[in-house]
Amino acid sequence: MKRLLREWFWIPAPHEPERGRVARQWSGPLNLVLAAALTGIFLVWALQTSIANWDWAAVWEYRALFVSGWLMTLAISASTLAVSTFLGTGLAILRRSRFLPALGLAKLYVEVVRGTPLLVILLVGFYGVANAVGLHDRYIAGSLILSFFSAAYISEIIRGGLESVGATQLESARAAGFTRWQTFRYVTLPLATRNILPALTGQFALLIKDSSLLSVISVSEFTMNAQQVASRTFGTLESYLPLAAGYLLITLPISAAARTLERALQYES
Amino acid sequence: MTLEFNRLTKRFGEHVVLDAISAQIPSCSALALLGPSGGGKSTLLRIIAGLLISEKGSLCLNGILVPNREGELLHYRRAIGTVFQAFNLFPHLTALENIALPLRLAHGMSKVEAQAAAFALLERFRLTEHAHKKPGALSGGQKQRVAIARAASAKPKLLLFDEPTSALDPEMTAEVLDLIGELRAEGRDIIIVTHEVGFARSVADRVIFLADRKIMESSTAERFFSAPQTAEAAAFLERILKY
Repeated sequence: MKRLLREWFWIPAPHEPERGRVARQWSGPLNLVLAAALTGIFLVWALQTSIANWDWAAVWEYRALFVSGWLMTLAISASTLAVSTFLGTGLAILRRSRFLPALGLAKLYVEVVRGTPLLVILLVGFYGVANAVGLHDRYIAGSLILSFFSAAYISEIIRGGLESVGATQLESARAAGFTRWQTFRYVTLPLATRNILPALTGQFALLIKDSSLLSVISVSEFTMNAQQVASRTFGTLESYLPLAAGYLLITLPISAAARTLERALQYES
Repeated sequence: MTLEFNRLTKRFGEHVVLDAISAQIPSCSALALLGPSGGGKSTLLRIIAGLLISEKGSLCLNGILVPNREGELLHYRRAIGTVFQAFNLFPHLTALENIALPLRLAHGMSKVEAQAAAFALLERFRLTEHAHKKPGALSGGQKQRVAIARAASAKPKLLLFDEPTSALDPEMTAEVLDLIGELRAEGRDIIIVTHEVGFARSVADRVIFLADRKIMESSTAERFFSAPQTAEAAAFLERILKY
């Protein structure tokens, strides 16, 4: 009995004997299912009053609002991911620049943006900056402001990754006669990418969820639409559970893709 | 090759590593840089390799002034092969790609040509079975042989070695030294920083003995090993040959 418990619920320490093949292969999935079941039981217990009288019919009426909001969030997320990664890379490069004014500007930008609430940046950005430059489309303006906000965080992640590439690798690239661009493209970038990926995936998830704040400038994205449905139907849980599922539907595939990419870039150093 | 240093000075911060060294090395084909640790051997080799730029003074290789601007050094470096103590292979590339990539990027070969040339080299160095392994899966000796193949791939006239065997066990040291001897026999000039005095003695025809930021001695290998002129060199040889 004791052995069986050890086999299925413990990963042996490096000095301990290996487990059998079946347990090695299936203990992971088994425990995942167990964890999911426990979580489910807890949720049902915690929400029992709501569940007792929930009403999906009212919410189903508004399914189009969910779909359009989800699609909007997906579009905002996709464009923001691309733009903020691009901006973040640029900022990270400036942050490592040996040209002092550029370095100072990048440092200041990162510090100020990271220390300011997104809500303030959105409001100032939209009613101030975007107005001043004549950008009135709230969807484009909102995505751009979110990109600039997230770029500050992403630049720090990328900078860490770039700095993790050893001096010996860079010397080796110079000795091989690579130009600075070739060194970046063929040595620094692939080596840094692997080190950046885990932190970047987390930042992407935050970014996707942060897009819900765009509702303060009246962008009718997923969260805002769900709020509307909730206030019209009085079905709070029935509106917000699909909301959670909808966000997971975007973030989980990104995590999975990042893990695949991480494995592809695997090497021993 | 011929080498000429003229009041060459290199500092790292406040720390002077080479203090206005001057020397003229008449025609030779294998130069060994010897001396105690911290004497500036690796720094001098990196200046010759075009990887470091000196603060003062100049360096002539084969009668031509070595440039002291990064832009010009790029072309200078492409004509030289450098091998490092810690192998410095790119960890994300296979042995084959480690050799082929520089051929493609720095020497204008097409992808197919570069791969073929790299494969031929691996074959010659008896590394064919390891062509598709990444450095993490190779032994120290194999890594260093791949690194030497990479440095020799573009057929440079001059090959530089910075303590190529210091990170290897004796058996692997032998296979790497054999390889360097082969390249030397092929007619390539080499400059080597090494603690393998026995190897230096058998392969080199000139020696520079560096200690305490200065060139203490610059002479033929024969004279250096049989009759060192300075007390420092004599003491160094005695210490190192004791065991």
